[in-house]
Parts: sequence; C-alpha cells; structure tokens
Amino acid sequence: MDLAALENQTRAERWEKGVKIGEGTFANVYKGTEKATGRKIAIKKIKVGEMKDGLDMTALREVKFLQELHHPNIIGLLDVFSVKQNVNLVLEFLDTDLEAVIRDKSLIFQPADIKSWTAMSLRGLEYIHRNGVLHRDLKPNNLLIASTGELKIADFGLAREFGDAKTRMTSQVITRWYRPPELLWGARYYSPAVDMWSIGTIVVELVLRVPFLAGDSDIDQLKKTFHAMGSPTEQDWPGHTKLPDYHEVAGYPPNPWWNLVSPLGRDGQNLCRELLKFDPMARVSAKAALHHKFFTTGERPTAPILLPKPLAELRPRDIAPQDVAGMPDSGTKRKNTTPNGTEQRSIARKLFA
Amino acid sequence: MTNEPGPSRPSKPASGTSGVANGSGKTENGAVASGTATPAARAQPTPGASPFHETSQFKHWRYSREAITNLRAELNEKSKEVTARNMAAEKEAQQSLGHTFADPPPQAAYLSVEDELLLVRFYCSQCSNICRAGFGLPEAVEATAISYIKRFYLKNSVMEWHPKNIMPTALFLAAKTTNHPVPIEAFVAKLKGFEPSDVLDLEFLVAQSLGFEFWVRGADKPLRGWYLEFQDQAIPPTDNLQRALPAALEYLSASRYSDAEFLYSPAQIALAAWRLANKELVDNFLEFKYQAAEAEEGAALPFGAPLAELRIVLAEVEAVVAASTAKFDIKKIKEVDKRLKGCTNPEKVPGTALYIKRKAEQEAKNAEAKAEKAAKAAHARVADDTIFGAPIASTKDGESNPPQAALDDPFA
Repeated sequence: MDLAALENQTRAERWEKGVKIGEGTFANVYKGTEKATGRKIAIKKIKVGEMKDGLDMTALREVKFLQELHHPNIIGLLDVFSVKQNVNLVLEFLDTDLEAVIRDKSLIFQPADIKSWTAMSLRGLEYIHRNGVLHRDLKPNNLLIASTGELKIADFGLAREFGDAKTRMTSQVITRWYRPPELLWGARYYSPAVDMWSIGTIVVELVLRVPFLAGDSDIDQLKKTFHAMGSPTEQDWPGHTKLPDYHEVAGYPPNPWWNLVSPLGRDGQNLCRELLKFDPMARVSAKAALHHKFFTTGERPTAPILLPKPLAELRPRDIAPQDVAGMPDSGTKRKNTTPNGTEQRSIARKLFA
Repeated sequence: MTNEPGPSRPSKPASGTSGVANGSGKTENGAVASGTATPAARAQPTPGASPFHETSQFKHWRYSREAITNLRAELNEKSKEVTARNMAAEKEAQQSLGHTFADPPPQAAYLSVEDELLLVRFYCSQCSNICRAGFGLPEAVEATAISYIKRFYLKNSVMEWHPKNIMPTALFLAAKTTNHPVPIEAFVAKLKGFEPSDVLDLEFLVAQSLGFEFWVRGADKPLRGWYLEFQDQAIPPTDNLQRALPAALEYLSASRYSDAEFLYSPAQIALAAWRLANKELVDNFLEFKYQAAEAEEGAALPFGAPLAELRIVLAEVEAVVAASTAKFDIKKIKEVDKRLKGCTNPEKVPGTALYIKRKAEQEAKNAEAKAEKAAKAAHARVADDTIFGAPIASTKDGESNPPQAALDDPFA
C-alpha cells in the first residue's frame, strides 16, 4: 500500500463513526467517538466524488485554515482522513450555537453574559487576524457553543488570507445582515475591519434578541443600515463615494442608535460604536477591542460554564445545501444566503445542535 | 501577490516569518523530529515561539538532512522492491493471457534516489513555466504547486507516479487553495494530451499525500519583510536594495527547486537569497543589528541567536539555494526518463495486465462492501420495523385463521 494511504488508514482507525445527525447535498455530519478515550467528536463527511471541478473550494478552504488555526475560541479540527473519495473532518463536538441561544426566549441574558460572549468572539477573531486570515462569514450561527459554555468560531468555508498588496478580493462575502457597508458598495480591497463590523452587529443582536440590520436585499441592507445609523458623510467616512458600486443612499438623519444597547452601559455602547464605524480605517481592530474598557470595568464577564444555554437538546436538522457547498461554477463568486427569519434555523449544518 | 514590490508599495511583512531567523533559538536540526513524527498526534492549542512554529509546515514538513536522506532512500528501496515484484507478476499475467513479455530490466537499471530527484526538480521547473507562460498565474500559485510536488514525492516514488502526471494535478489543486481557481476545461486546454479526468482522478491522491495540509509558507513574504528591515538602519542602503532585489527574487525562485523549505524556515531562506544577491548588504545589516544590541544593556539577541551561529546557518542555506541554480542537464533527464519507462510499477500503468487485474479486484471488493452495507441496512430496517414484535395478522375470521408462522410448522 502507498505510504500516504497507509498513514490515512492509521488516522481513520482512531475514530468511530456513529449516527448521522445532519444531512446535506455536499456533506453529512455524524456523531462519533475517539476510540482511545471515548471522547465525543463530530465527523463532517464531505462528498467530493461528483464535483465537476474536483475538490470543492469551500471544503478546501475549511481544511486549509482549520489545519493551521489552533485556539480555544476556534473550533478544533482533530483530524482529517479519507474513505474512498470522501474527505472526513474530525471536529470537536459542540452542543449548540449562539443563534440558538439568542432565539431561545426562555433564556434571560445579563450584560455580563453578553460581555463574556463578546470577549470570547474577539479573542478567537484576534488570533485569526493575527495569523493573516479573514473569516468573512461571522454570524451567530457560526459561533458555536461547547458544553463548557466556551464559544468557538466555526465555518471557514469563505475564509482567505490577506495582506498581499494589489490582490482583488470578492465583495460577495459575509451573510447580508452582518455585511459592512464597504462590501455592500462593492469594495474589492478590504481588511479585517469587515469581520469587526460583523461582530458589532452580533453584539447589538445579543441585546435586541433579533438581528439588528435585517435587509431583504443588498440595496435594502444599505437602507436599513443608514436608517438605523444615519447616512454617512464625507467627514464620517472619507472617500466612500469612490467605491465601485457606490450609489447614493443619502437623507437618513443621524440617529443615536447606541441607545438600543444601553443595557451594556456607557462602555458597552462605546465599544459598539467603535465596532460599527462606517469608515473601515477608523473601525476598531480585534486587538484594540480586547483592550477596551468595557471588559475591565463594571461587572466581570460571566464564566463560560455559567452562561445561559438552551435546556432542551436540539434535534438534528437538515444541513442547508448552501451552507456546505460552494457554488459549482466558482468558489469566489459564491452567493451568500441570508438567514430568513421565518425559516427554521439550520444550525445542524456545521455540527448538529 | 505581486512581483514588483518596489519601495513605493512594500507589502506587509508576515509577522511570523519575516523577522525571525529561527525563533526558538533551537538549532536547525533540533526541531526536526516533528517532521517525521506520526501524523496521528495532532496538536491541541499550544502557542508556539512564533506563529510559524504553529504551522503545519513547521510541525510536519521539516526534516534534518539525515532524516530526509534516509526517508528518500527507504522510499526508493521500497519502490524498487514493489516494482520488481509487480514486474514479475505482470510477466506471469501476460504469459497466462498468451502474450509474450520481454524480460523486465534488471533492478540495477531502476532509478536511484538522485534520478528520482532530478526528474521531480525538472517537473517543478516545468510547473513554473506553465504558470508563467501558460496561465499567467501569480507566483503564490507557482510556489505552492511546487511545494505540493516536492511534498508528494516524500510520500511517493517517481517509479509509481510519474511527475509529468502529478505536476498538473498539484498545480490545479494549488490554484484552488490559493484563491485562483481555474475551471478544469480551461485548465486542460493548456496541457497537451490531458483530459479533465487525468487531472481530477489524481487530485484525491495528491491531497491525501499532502495530509490535507494545504497552506505552504513561502519565503516571498519574508523576502519583502527583510526589504523593510534593511531600511531600518542609520543610513538605509536604499539604492543597493533596489538594485539587489531582482537578483534576490531570482534566488528565491531557484530556492523552490531545492530542499531548502524542508530544512530551513522561510525567513532564513529569504535572508540567504538576499545575501546571495548582495553579500555586503546583508553583512552590513547584521553587523549593525548586533552592534546596536551590544550597545544597549540587557538587549535580547537579535533574531534569537548569536551572530556566529546565524552566519553558519546562513552559509548552509546559501549553499543549498545556490546549488539549485544550476541548469538542467536535459540529456541526463531524457536518459532517466527513458529508463523510468522500463521500471514503472506496472500496477499504476493503465493498460497493463496487472493494472486491469488490480482494478477488477478492487471493483469486486467495492461491490462486496456495498452488498454488505445494503444487507446491514436492510437488516436494520427489519429490526426497526419489528421493534414491537411481528405485525399482528389482521384476521377477519378470527381464530379459524391460524397465525402465519404455524402454517410452516411441521409439527402443527
């Protein structure tokens, strides 16, 4: 047997595959255990046999980045092995995700809980950015929650490296409700600031318990954004009118939207404003955000184990095909689907829940 | 990625790989064990001395000279054995089909480690040509594809998989993992005699041989990082830098055909490329750095190592890189390739009797596994259905109709 096949086999033998807990067009998720320790794991089996252009870009990106990123606030990729023409990712087993937590109306959040989730997200994200990677799909259902209450960033299917001058990137990334205005206006050169905007909208959502800026289309998204926060001026955001897909969405008056997050106190409101600055150059970085007063004044962040968590075990659901598959024509052109409020959430996709 | 950084557009130095010559101060060969360690043990979050120390490249693709030499010798030896065995099997299979079979060449004519390496390197350079002339793909794709090819042949032998077949697949895969995907039809259109399936069928094998580790840390970012570092002097040698850059990039390119990336860190390779381009430039800079550190009380050693130690490593890397600038001996390559035709593992050559036989065996095995799975599923279904016992027979006539099972009872 070839050396590579042999190595693959020894890897595969470490894991026991259990029942299927999620199913989709391009990937299935199974519960499983590590044979040596009995530890619970999840196996994400990506079917690649039938793809026209071979191994799928989304799957390749996910594997590429999870292989390199090791952090307590990032989902752990424990192993990769193949059976026939399928790639199997062995992932940490995680109970639920932040979206399920937000939607569970029986749970009551304290400001200290929100502080804790925000801090954990920022820690993971700071590490991702420090390693030269953009996540490009942060949203509550990509922030998974372990049984210990720890938050872990998952789904690197849209991630990419950054830092090479002159490299054009697609602006069709990040689920619409969490997408910053520079991408909505078609920016092709952007920075980690795009992920920071997403975190900002997630923090506000943690307070409101509904998505902060829920546009029905890309144009509506800009309208909703400026309706809530006021249209940007040249002073707020120098040069924004030069963006490739710029169209005027003027006329919305400034609005003290941060009153929406008053439960977080003055420091919390200030952090939200820093995260949701229109000008990406002025938007706070993950590292700077972690040093924000919000985390060191007032109540201490709740210990992960004490954070609110849905009681009922969530049942497996279908994996939404768009969540596990790139568009067949080209990975970079992949359209984002926006979560639809009336639709059942599809958290099972990544793991189960 | 651009080829012309120029002073006006310095690209961001990679934080982990640019300034650190050898982060932990460990000797080069000391860090090697991890390269040959079993892939089974995947690390849990452990902060490394620098981000580079956390990469899969550092953990799984770094070797000592001895380790890499032994590895290749073993692989070559094993392939010779397998090939010889399969040659004999092929002869038998052909003869049983009533064909004549010319005696295979003696094992002495099989490829040596050096022969294998020569071919691999040649196809690495071919890969560069295709990237530059054929597709106009950025250098990041080229660099990654070459690393994939070299890594592939640390797990496989040329006698089993010809590099002319592996190279396109490695390139196709690298284009995807570096965000420059090329649709398969457009891709094969540039390669004479290749069908989409020729490329795609091997993709899985290549990905598997790479251990599904796709991120390769090249020396290009550190090279640009050094460009910025060099300017951090009392009198920045701007003109010299500008003049030396093209040569440094040439050496960087050449370094990709060598083993440098398996033996040294990207930052070390980049510094060596600069020193080969302009010795004085680098020496002055190092002199300046170490003197500045000496003058300051309690300052840490620059680059985590004393100057003398750094110089030794640098000289080693330079030798490795410089050696790979030599022109290819096309005559020798042709000779090796010709010899390879006689000693390719027949199991891997479509059309040989052995290939057909192995394929049939595999198909039979697959069919068997499939049948077994189906039987298991059917069994599970039955078990599910009968969880509350067998269905109760709907009996209209009541007791006059005995239960089904009793009908088969010979003792009834």
